[in-house]
Amino acid sequence: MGAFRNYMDRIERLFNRGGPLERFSAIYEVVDTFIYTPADVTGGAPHVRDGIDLKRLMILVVFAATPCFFMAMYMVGHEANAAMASLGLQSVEGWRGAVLERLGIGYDPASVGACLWHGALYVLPVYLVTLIAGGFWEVLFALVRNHEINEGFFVTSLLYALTLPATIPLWQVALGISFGVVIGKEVFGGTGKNFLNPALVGRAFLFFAYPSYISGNAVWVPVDGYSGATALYLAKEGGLTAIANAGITWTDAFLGTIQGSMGETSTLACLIGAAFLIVTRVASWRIIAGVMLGMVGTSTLFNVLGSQTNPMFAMPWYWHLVLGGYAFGMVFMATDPVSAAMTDAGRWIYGALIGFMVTLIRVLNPGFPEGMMLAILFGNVFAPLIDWFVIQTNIRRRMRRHAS
Amino acid sequence: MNPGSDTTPVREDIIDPRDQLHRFHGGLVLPGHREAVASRPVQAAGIPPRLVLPLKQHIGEAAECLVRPGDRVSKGQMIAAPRGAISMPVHASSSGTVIAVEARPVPHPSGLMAPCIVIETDGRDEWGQASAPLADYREVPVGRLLERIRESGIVGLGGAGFPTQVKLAHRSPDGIDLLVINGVECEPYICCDDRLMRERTGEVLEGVRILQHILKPRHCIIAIEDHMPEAEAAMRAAVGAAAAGNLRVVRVPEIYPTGGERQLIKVLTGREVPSQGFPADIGIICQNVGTAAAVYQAVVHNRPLVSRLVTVTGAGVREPRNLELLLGTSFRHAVETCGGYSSEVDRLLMGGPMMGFAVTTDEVPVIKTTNCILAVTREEMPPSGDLLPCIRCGKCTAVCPADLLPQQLYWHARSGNLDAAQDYNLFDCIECGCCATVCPSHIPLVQYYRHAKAEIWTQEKQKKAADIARRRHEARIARLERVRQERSGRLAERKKSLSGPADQATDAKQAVIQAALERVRKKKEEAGQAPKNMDNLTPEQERLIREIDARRSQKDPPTEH
Repeated sequence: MGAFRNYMDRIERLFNRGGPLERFSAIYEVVDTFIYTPADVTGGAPHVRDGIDLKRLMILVVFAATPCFFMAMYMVGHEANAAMASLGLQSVEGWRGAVLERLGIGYDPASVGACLWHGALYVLPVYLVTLIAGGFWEVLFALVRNHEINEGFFVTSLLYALTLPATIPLWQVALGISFGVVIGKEVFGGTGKNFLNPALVGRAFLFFAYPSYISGNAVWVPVDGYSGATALYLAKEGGLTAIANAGITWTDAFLGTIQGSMGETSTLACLIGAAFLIVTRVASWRIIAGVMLGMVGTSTLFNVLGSQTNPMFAMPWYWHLVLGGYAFGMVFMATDPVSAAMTDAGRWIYGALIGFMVTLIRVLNPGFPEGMMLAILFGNVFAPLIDWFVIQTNIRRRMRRHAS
Repeated sequence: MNPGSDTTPVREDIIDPRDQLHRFHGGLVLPGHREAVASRPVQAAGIPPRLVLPLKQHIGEAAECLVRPGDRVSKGQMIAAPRGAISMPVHASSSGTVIAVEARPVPHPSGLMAPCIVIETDGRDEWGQASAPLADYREVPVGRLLERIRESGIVGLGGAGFPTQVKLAHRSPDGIDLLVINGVECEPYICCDDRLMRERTGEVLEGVRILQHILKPRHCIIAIEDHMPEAEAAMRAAVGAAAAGNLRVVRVPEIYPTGGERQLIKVLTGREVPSQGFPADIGIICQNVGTAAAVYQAVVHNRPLVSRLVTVTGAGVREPRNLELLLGTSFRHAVETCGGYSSEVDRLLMGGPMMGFAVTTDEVPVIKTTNCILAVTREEMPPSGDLLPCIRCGKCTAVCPADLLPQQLYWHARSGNLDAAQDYNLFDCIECGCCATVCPSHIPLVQYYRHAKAEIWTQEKQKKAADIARRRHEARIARLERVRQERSGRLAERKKSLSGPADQATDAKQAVIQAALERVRKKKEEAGQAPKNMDNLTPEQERLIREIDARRSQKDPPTEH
């Protein structure tokens, strides 16, 4: 280790200002600070610091999303294996089949290992492509701007990958994350300066550019010829009866054994992540509570209003919670501090706005059975305005208090 | 209704009779690191061979030096006099000889040098002859007491260093409702006020009584944080024994920065000091316990401020403890009195870990605002990590005890948008450091605010200077114009006064000149071209002239006539 430290010290001057490799100082920094802590000393007060730092925050979010990641692998494999069993298929074609063949894993939907392996062959390629394509842009911008490469990217890429369906073509994955990173974040100046969630920007790009690959009935289970609609799609057509007819119970939806994007079907996994994020104080509990209350309030309102023609009016809040990307978006997307409101009161309002919008889109808009992505982007756009009003209100209130 | 209160408006009482406390927004609960040091008694550090006394140890104008190298000074002698209303004198803290008046390193965040008086001590520590002690301060006019406090060089010893008599003289029209004696000492590591209240309870209490006499407040509270039960017990016993009246001891919870003036007032009364205002504006005055003890020394014993209690601590010091140090003692002497540095020492700070600053050399002297000398190891206070981008997590806003939006201030300060930063009340920032402590991106927020404040001050100074220059220029232009007009006016007047008779006079003069010229011309004509001295020559002379002319004509060319 000492030899490596010496080597790093020796080559450091190459990357310093004026050195031949000055352009690549960001890469040197990333390697150096990844392995060692820097030796600089604070110049001014305060001299004590909280233990928490940005790198750790980001890693905690990645930890929190791990249950979703494993559930994604398991569920994709499980759905695929189950579909194969129902269609009477014995093997899959292509490299995935070859790998599974070579490892002798098989396609037993009852075997957790087999499902995990099969699912991993879909989830991991998407994730890796995201890392490579998004990482390329990150490094490029870091080098040109002389910034450091930020750990936040790992969060963005993981969340982005989990919001995609298993059958998504990998070139689209690369295109989407490129759009998300460049247009969603870097053009505004990089980490901390974007006003939209970059992962959602990437997903929204794919959603509107290639709708047939990311919505509909055929994309969720990676088995040719198998068609299964998402529960929300079913509900749009025939309400809770249609969901029940498809053999989906609330428990299925809660655990995640339903059609949907890879990482967002399991509400249970999302709630485990939520508990972790709240306990570690990484995510704002106010935002999560706001999203929850907004959705509960709005869906209850629709329940009370009722409708003869639109079965979605009758969907109770606990079904909204477990269907689609609601839980995943509430826990991981809405709580992104960069694009959320920053004042405490603003966070309640921001969360409630998202909860309200998602219900509104799901119930009233026939075009989009899924509303979470758009609701959060909508909330992102309004977050600065919400903060502004909160601050102005606060100023007025204090002026009144001191005037009296 | 009390019939006696007809003339005076009924005021809601400023403090809750049951000592119901309030909360200020934000703040942090920090580990104290005080126990070991607080349990040891204060030790006097003796007389160092040299004392370095900066001319500016307070907020306001620097003092004016009264001594020259070679002068002998006695302990307590005023060696620099206040200059201006907000300025304080400096006293020799021991007897000896002035050896230099020059720029020396002083404890200041900038690390710059500043003018100091250097005294070589003689070890005798002789007091000079003092003016007579005030027999009983209750018999003395308040103005005289304030003058005595000023002459004694007393400033706020809690850390800010604001001249005490200025603060005491600042009155709200309704008088003072509440005098707060600040024994909170909220910053980690520091415990000199704790020891002071335990060991010199009587002095503190007597000082409080003098302050009460000066201010005549309706209430007086000695506020003590709950991490120092012994000090609290001592003060309670003393207050109880002395038949307290409207004086009370109140325990406040340990939340940093409760010791901040505005925060403490909020905790005790629930009231907020207006932005840009002073506590006196809402009828409250806050004084540190150390200041109270110094007031006692000044008023009762006629002793100026020449020493103070300082906590010398941190894992970088072998035997950390509280010392009584003469002002001007070097940090090195203080640390050596405490057994010297440990081998892992990394940084030397003046003040606590939150608001203190690193000094570049341990030659800097202890000054009136030095409450703590903190030598820390790297392990104890690891350097902050790399500066990372702000992700707007809002943790800074959640902990800000001044109810500000540190994040917005940061954006504006960073982009040099100083007007916007002021709109967000930059100047209400007390620089407590809570925001920077919790920032996950390790952004040195306080430095940004300090920089922005300094930038605004500089701009204002420049603007003021420019205004003065502009006014001077305009005044000069106006003066020149006035002078020009006056002169032309005078000329016109004189011309007027000479007109009429003046014209004839001119003609007369001209005529005289003309006549003279005429005469000359006539004469010339009469004389022809011949020189005048050639008239009426004798034959002898004519012969001589001819000879001369002949001689001249032989020369070639003729050089002279």
